[in-house]
Amino acid sequence: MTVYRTNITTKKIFFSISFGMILSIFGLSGVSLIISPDVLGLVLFYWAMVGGDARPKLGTAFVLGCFVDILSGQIVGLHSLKYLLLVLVSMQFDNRFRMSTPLHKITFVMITFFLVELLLSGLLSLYMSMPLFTERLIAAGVWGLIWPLMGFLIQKDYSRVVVK
Amino acid sequence: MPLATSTIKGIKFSFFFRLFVYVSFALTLIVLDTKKQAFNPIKEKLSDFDVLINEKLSPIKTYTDGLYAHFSSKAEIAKKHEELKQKQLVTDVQLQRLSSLENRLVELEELLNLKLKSNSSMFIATVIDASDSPYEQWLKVRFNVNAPISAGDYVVNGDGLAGQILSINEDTGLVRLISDQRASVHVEVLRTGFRAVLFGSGEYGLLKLKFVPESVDVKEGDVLITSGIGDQYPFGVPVGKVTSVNKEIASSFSRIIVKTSADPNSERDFLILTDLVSDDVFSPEH
Repeated sequence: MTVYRTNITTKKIFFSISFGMILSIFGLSGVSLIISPDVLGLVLFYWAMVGGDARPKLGTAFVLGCFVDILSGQIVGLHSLKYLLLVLVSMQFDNRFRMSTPLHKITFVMITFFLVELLLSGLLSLYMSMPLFTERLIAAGVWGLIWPLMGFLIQKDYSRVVVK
Repeated sequence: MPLATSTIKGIKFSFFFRLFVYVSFALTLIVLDTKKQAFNPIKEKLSDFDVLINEKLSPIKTYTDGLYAHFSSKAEIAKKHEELKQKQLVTDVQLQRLSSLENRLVELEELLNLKLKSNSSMFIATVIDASDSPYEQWLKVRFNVNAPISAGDYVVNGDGLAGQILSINEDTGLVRLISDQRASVHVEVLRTGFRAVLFGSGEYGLLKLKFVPESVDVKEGDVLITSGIGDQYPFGVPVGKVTSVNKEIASSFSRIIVKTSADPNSERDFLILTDLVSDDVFSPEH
């Protein structure tokens, strides 16, 4: 019998998070910043859900959020708050998420990101009188559709374990 | 087990406590940044760094932009080339039409000149049909229904005689070309005044001058004009030029071949002469 195993290493987590951070800071070429995906957020949420013991901690999420805010010139603390909320969601639902179907996973991710974005945008709109971009809310949900691609890219491992 | 339960509860409390601390800290940072602009100096310094990075990376960006422009321009050039080829084809066809229209215009001008110079009646006729058979050479022409055209009228163009009206039907007429083997024209050698009968050979553009004794002075290059015998047909209309004069075997006559002045197969408009033509309408050098 041959069993495929996935290998989660800190090196893999580190490189994927670094890549996500670069894309989050500099954005995608040709895509407006308003609807540009938060790649680091997606990567972080991915590892928080499937990482198990190697998942990113609250402190890591906070620091990474601060980095993204400062380096991309946005409001400091905003992404930190967002990533903290994502880690909180992952702590509550990770077991059920791992056992659900791919369609349920995608739906869950889309709703999570939409609600987190709505919460933060609402907070800024109410207390800081900042405009609420509906395109951003919709885009935040839509980018959840790339969840299966992320799983394929990040965690693809061809190592095999033969069990006799 | 109480120890395990309290441990789990302890872990959960620790998590939520830490979460509370971090969230408070994040909210504080947000307030500081939006209300007090506390992080603006750091952001400005970092934006300089960002500009520096962009400047260092700009040659790479320029190079990749150039590569993209090179390949996309090649594709665009290929596309434009195809479009231009199509346009060229259309233009060529239009040019061909224009050149044939130009030729027609020249012919019409010649006919108009002829008409203006003449004192007699000339009526324009346009070719609408032509013979396909090699044994018959005729044209069908259309003219003004009120024109007083009758069978036997000569059909000419700017170069000379083309044929003769065989029959009329309201505004159309059948013209037998002079090169038809059943056609004949009374002619006169312009140089010497010698009169003879010119017959069609059946070949386009070629005529035969028959029954001319060997002793008669006819040379290559002699111009033949209509003789106007009987005052029924015009005098002086160029018919052709002698191209060869040979002695016929077992005969006392010369074999004289004449090339027609007019080329009725390449033109569309002719004039029909309904009256005698004055002497100076056709140039003797034709």
